[in-house]
Amino acid sequence: MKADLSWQDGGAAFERLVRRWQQPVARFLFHVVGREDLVADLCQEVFLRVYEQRGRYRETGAFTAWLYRIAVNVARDAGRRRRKEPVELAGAEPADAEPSPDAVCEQAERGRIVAQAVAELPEPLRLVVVLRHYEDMSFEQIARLLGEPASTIKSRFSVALGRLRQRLRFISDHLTEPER
Amino acid sequence: MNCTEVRAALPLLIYGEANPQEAALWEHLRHCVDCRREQHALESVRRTLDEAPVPRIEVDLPRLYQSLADRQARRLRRWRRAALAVGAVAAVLLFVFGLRLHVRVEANQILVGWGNPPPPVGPASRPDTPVAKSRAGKPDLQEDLRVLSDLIHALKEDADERDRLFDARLDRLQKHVLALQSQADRRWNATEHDVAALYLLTSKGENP
Repeated sequence: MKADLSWQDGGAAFERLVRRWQQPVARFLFHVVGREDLVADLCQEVFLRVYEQRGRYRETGAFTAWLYRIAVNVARDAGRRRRKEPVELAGAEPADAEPSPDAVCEQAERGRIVAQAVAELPEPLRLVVVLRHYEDMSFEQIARLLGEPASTIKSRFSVALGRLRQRLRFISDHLTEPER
Repeated sequence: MNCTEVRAALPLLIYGEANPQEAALWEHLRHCVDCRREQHALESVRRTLDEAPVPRIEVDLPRLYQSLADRQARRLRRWRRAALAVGAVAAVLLFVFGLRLHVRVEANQILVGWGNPPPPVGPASRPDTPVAKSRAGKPDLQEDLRVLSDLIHALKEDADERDRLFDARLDRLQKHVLALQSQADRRWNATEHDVAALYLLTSKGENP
């Protein structure tokens, strides 16, 4: 997708762009950063940079890739700022504690555990999982976006999925079909 | 393909990106129970990942425009400070060259003077004393001064132009903020009006 970012119409186009992309950007940032309370501010920062850097966008390039590159940078900056803070979701239990069977049945609890498991992956693995699984980008697109070879992205994805399998086994086991 | 190769490629297969190897992978999975179990486990992880919540976010546009205006204003202040610093350095240089200042170290003294430096006096004067030589008397001094003056004027014009641009941008942003605020006010009034009407209807329903 290409976009005209000249915004000669006094900002209405920019507002349309924000409305169109705010949800995908928020979803991406939430999965990468893992904290809902930070998402609104980070989302705001992404669109501030979009506005300020619109001169650098070339209409020949894919707008989505350009936007996600900005979002990746914003998420990385946020990660650097809070590197000393432990990754913790509101009211999260220790990662290794397996929740009670009742809790496993609760959708919200499961969602929280999944989000936490993704957020606790090392950043390079997390980015690949979020871009492939949640943003549905191909490995080639991710490779171009992150400036890494596609083979590296694929092996990172395999490692990440293996780790998630270990972390989420108590949820996934309920979903695994019995082997025939 | 052996089990190790298959397991390394399973995540790609599950996400539909194991293209060149796909047939070989399926062939192996048809016969290998362990790898099939692994495949099911990873497919289940894929489904589990979909359970993560997605927060609903509404970007606050007035706040966004306000932040933009604040950043522009900060940049403008920084640019003015830089221009002022460059101007001050240029003024000092102009002063030094204009007065033909020169510094000499002579007989354990540091001498600062202006105009043409005095000729060395008598045999006591030390020709090897480090002297910051004045450029007075050189034929290109006037030319240097002219270039410096042109440079300062160019810098000033550049600074003025940037100021004008920043002001125009700030104006535009402020107009956006005002428009959004008045839009929000109108919506608020309409909502208030609706709520009052609903309240009236409800109270009429309770007390017919």
